[in-house]
Amino acid sequence: MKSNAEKNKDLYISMAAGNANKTVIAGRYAFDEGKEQFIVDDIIAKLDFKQGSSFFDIGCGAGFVAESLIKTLYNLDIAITAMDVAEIIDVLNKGFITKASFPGLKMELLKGYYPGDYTSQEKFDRILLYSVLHSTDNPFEIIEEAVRLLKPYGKILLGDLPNINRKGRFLASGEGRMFEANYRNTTVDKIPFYSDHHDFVQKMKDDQDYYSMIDDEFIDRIHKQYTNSGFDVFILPQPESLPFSKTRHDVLICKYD
Amino acid sequence: MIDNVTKNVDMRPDFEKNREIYRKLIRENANKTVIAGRYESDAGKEQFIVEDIIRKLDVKSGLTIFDIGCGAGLVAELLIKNFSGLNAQVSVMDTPELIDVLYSGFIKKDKYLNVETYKGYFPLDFDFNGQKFDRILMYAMLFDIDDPFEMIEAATKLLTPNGKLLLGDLPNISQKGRFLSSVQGRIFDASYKNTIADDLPLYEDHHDFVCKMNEDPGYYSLIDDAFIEKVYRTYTKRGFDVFILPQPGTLPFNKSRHDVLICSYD
Repeated sequence: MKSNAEKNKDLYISMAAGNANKTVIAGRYAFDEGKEQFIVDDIIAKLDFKQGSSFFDIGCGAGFVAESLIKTLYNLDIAITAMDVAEIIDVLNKGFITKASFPGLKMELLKGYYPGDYTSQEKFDRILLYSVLHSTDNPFEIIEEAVRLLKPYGKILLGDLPNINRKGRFLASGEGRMFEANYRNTTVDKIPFYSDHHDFVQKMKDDQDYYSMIDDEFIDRIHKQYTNSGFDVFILPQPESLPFSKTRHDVLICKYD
Repeated sequence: MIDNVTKNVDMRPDFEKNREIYRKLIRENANKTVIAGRYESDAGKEQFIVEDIIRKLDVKSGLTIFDIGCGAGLVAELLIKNFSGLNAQVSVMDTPELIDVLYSGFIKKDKYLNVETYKGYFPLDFDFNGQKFDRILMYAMLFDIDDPFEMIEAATKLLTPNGKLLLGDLPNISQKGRFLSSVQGRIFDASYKNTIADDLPLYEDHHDFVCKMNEDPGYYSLIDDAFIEKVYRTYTKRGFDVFILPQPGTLPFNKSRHDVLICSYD
């Protein structure tokens, strides 16, 4: 049986190879096209980039967000390192990044899985894991290894976390049911009823096709573990302009020296 | 790893003394930055505080807003001005002395007469008879009271569906310890105390800072990482979204304080 990571890898590689639209290959819906700039603006605001600093994008993908982020960070003279599986990096490398478009671009593209295939000792001022952790089998190990790569006063953003409890709170609410009915082009009475988020989570766990390691307990564990280890940890909402703002949020981990 | 040490409740200070300090500042006509518990050198930063609150609470036209422990300083005045400018219905609450100063010195004088004022201690002195609010603010006040959990609990019960409660400007002793045990924090503290870093107490890490502070009878803080985690666990379990938010660098105590936002569903 394939692991969560393997199933997701196959999916993203087949979309990238099939020339799916650049919104879709990043795991978003086609109708979310155009919202990528809001995502990038939000990442830039939350990570508080400083001119001339270094940045590592783990699981960068090959969609519009990756492209727009590179473009924005290039203008801030940020040294970029981006890592993803070979098939994704090949797509990213194929058309978008040309010397003519980005003279002097400081960028290194790494192929493989993080942390297993990452061999460098380089440290970074800012690290991003965006929309990545739920597609892996070992999110805690990835976070732990990524945190080790932070320079003093560095920040890491665990972005776009699909918290199953949060999704449950939304889908058990009146607003959530109306949103869901509208999204599915049906009426509210046809939408499954959840008495509260605990009920939603239980029903999702009973469903073999649904898999999520990210819930309130996961977030609480990150907060406890990293504050105890001397980091500041913030749990941040997403602006409503983002595609999954009702069910996802971000975590920012800030290092001291 | 060491869990945060929480000071024994028997060591709690007499919070009435804190209130008396604020009353004294008012009697002495201290400036409007100082009577709100900030340093004179922070004058002018109130507008940044207000902009941050409005953004975090997502204040929109037509909403009802309740400011619990509003104080009588510039932040209270600017909030009333900005909320009213957004056509929000504003209610404010604090002790009688503070509300009297805010009313005579600003609300009545500047004709914000549709602002509803409550005098007394929250939640004991009030029966809201089912009245609810779309946005509730408790700013820089939970550390000045005996039972912050009781107060948060009472405030969440006053939220309308899809309402938001901001627990603002929380002086998290663990966060302060992380900052003051860092190089950047020591440089900041030395500059603030007009001394050199060598003359400052050395803290190995934030656990060390918290332990030393808890041994100091003159220092008391109920708010630490464990407090924040308890708020997170309690309210997410009950069906609220809970966010832990940093403060922008423009705010007076941004290195050692942060905010918590609690959002209700219907």
